[in-house]
Amino acid sequence: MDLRDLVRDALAAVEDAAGRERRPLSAVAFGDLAVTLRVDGRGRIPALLDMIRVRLDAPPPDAAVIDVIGALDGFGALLPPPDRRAGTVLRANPDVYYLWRDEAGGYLTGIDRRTRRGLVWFTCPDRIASWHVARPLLHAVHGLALGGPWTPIHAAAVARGGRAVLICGMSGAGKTSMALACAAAGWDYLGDDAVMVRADPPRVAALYASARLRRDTFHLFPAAMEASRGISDDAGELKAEVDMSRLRPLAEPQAEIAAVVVPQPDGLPCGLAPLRPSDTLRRLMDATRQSILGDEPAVFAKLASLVAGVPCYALGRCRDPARLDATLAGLIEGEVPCRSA
Amino acid sequence: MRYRLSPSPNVSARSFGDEIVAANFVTGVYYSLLGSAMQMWDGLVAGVPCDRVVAQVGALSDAAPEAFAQAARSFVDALVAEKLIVPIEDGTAPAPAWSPVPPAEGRYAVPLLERFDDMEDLLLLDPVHDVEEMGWPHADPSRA
Repeated sequence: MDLRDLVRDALAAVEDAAGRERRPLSAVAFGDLAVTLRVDGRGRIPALLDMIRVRLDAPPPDAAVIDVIGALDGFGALLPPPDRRAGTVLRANPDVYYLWRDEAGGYLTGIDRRTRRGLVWFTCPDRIASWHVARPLLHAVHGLALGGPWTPIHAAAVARGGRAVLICGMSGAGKTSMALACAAAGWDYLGDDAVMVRADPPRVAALYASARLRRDTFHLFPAAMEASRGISDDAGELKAEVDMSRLRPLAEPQAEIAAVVVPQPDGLPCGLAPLRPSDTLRRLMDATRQSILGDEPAVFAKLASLVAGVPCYALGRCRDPARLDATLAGLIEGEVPCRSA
Repeated sequence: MRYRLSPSPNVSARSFGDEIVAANFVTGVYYSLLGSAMQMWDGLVAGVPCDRVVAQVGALSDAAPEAFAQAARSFVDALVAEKLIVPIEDGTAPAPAWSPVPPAEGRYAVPLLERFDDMEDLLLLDPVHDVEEMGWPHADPSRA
């Protein structure tokens, strides 16, 4: 049977089960993408709703529908064959987005792109990794975003007065520290690791209220630590799972992108230097491919349009939060950096 | 010989005015084309015969004609080897009107294909497997 048909049959079965069990509905938004979520109560699955930043009172009629499940009896064929389960399996085309990852005991996202219905199946719902709780349904959002102007990316963002700075870099580049330092200085926190962006007009939208602090930075952000839901230990890496919505509500979940900055390795002085759009595009694509898989040509086209229309800068590491605040505030206010690349 | 952009859905290119960025998403390699390389790319993917592209861009270069032609051949070979462009039959279609843009100042250097392969290791660590249209369990051998 075709994989697309397998996904569709599974979605029909999930629909039946959700109706029988009268699973509760939640309406949320990722950028302009409205989604009706139906989650079953197994294991840690209900916790996946906690960090989603934008809740809607009711789903619009054209909302996509995602079921989040911990079991799907009779649909073992939807899983990759046993010899393929140790790794990642991806299929992305205009009809279907299918992603299997062997993390958290086995995790599957299946989206029927034609009907905008999908499922996220955690085969071990008691073992859902903290990464998923902090960035719930990221691959499903990606799977639903293909035909629209928005795309989720691996980046941080902070905003002030409706204008945002997008902070791009690989894991460990300092995105979380920069975003939390700005939040402590009064900026709106839109995300430390995953946000939604679009070009024409260039905008960024918050996806999650989460921030994941490394152990060696706990002492730098006492206010954020007050908002921590706990310390997670995924594969020996301790992180504070911060809920930024506990600190203050988000006035506006979207903002215009005033600039893109790419943090540079340690050793360079704090400050900005113009960065070529091509270099910025490469960094954005590389970082995004760390965690968001599939549809690369479409993502490339969207991000290329974004960086072509927005100033891009390399940012020397600012260890002084006041310097960072002032540096990024200059971008929001349209000041042109003077240090050359 | 004429060429065109690879028909592969896994190859994309974008112009930023003074630079073209191309990407092959199967290998995770990105490419930067500046100066004469960008002009040659423009002519090649427009379907202009390669000899004409080399002659016209070479006329804007400070390199000796033979040196430029040799570098241009290597450049085109590299584009083909990296699967960014593919040869097409000359056929009977007339060659499109095209002329390279002269440099803003000075003259062009020989064309170079700048290659960024920092994603290759990451892809090897986190392999992405495509499957054939009919689903499991057939790995698509063309992606191997």
